[in-house]
Amino acid sequence: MPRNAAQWDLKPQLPSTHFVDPLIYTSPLILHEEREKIFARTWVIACHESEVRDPHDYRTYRHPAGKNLFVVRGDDGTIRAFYNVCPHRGNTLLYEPAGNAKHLLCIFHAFAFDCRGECVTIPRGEEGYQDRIGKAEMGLRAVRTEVGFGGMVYVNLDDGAPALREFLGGALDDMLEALDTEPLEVFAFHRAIVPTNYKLWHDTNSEFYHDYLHYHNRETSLKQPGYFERRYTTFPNGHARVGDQVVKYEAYEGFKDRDLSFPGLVRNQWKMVDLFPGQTYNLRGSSLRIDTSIPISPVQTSIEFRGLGLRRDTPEERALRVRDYNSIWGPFGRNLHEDLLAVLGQGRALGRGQRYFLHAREEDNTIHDEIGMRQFYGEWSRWMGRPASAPLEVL
Amino acid sequence: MLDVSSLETLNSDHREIARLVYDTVLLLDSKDFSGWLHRCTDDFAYAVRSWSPELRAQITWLEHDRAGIENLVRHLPRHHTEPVLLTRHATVYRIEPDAERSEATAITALTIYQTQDDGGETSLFAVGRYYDRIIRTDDGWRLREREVELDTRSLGIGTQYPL
Ligand code: FES
Ligand SMILES: [Fe+2]
Repeated sequence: MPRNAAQWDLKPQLPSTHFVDPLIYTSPLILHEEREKIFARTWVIACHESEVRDPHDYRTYRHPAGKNLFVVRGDDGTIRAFYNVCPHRGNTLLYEPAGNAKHLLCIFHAFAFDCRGECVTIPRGEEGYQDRIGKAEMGLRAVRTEVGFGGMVYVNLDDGAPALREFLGGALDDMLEALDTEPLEVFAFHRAIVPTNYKLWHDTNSEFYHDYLHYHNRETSLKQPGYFERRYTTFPNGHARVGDQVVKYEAYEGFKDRDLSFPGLVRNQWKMVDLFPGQTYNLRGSSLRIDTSIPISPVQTSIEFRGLGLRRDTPEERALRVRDYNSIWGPFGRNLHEDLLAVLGQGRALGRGQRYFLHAREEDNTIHDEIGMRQFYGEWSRWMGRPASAPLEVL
Repeated sequence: MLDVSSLETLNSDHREIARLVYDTVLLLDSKDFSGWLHRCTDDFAYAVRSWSPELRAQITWLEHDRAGIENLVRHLPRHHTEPVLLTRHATVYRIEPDAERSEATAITALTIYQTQDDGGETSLFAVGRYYDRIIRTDDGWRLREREVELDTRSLGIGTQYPL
């Protein structure tokens, strides 16, 4: 039965954990708070260690809390992160997204810094600053960095936050053998700027009910044995893991089962973990995809996608992994375009008639249960002090 | 030294090769993939790549033989794709036939625009180049290899169509 205006506005007769108010996707005030309360205080993935392989290699990162960072490998091999900002008068230090720099030289007035964040040169320092300001006061802003869980470089702007392992709360334990038995390497990177809210991307990664969207997944996964036995496991701090399935890639005409795998992974196995507040490990047979979401505005999101294989891959093995990755992912893959199309469609309708979004499926935590999204928004509400179902109320 | 008649052959080769490249653009624009593949050899190879300053490496985004491309376009109706029109603007910059004039390479500048079905707004989708290898067959010049080298790496939600 169609609903009239009052009925359309009515809150669903469901627990408040089972729906959200789409205001959380459109409000600039809420994004401002998310940056301060969540992104500035939680661990996020900046890049992979293979992107800064050698001493003095650097890689820039646009942090979701709204800070520009760079990651650099020191002469001691340690990976550190800093604001990509000159302490003098705020110029961007590193303009290239990646490179190798013995000295980090600000092009503007030639302040220079070393790979550990110390200021090493102030041109004509004493003449101008006398003993009022020196190199000791002009160090870079260091950002806490931990490398692990597949060699990902995690950063946290909060100096007082709990350690990464504690934050992850065991969410990646089931994947650890695949991630940490031997070094991984990034073979694909691309960024999709999508007119949608970052949480809508994470929602898509956190529910499998939308497998109906994907012809590929319907054939190779949904119609295959084991699909409806996949279960969600939730973890502290808003993370969720989806149970495994062995995918039948050959059910898509012209597709091949994956010849390659990861350590400890059964051939064609699919494992997936969603990490609060906007990262996903998606390990599918021969390649690992890592998503990291960066809000630009409430209705615009930059999503960084990385594809990874094993560092020791031969060129032939690597080509196979790349082929498998691109068949469903990458800017021309079968599935990724469809996922992005769906969140683009949600994004287009934001503030244009949407009312409550349902996260209400309960199926004993199996694959079409929406416990993954509920886990995320439970955590979100705790950090924000606002229920996602009624974000104007303060908890 | 080229005599007059071989110069004429060379000129007509150039014309025919340029025409082949432009034909492929027109056929792709109109989504006539079988017409496009008709201009390609049986051992056609297609790839989309781009240099990534982030990884300081070349990334391959799509790589198919003829059967792979045929499979890709055959399955398009089963997938959800964004309702947009892709329009390619191409200029053949350089054609270099080999000494026997049985084979040639061509470099083509490429701009791809995207027009929304809803409202008709046009935006730039990507810029790059075609690097083609073209061979002479009994049926005339045919595309043996196409590498689409993209400068643009921020491709919105991407596309399911060959470029
Ligand atoms: S802003 Fe960097 S040296 Fe002045
Ligand atoms: Fe999906």
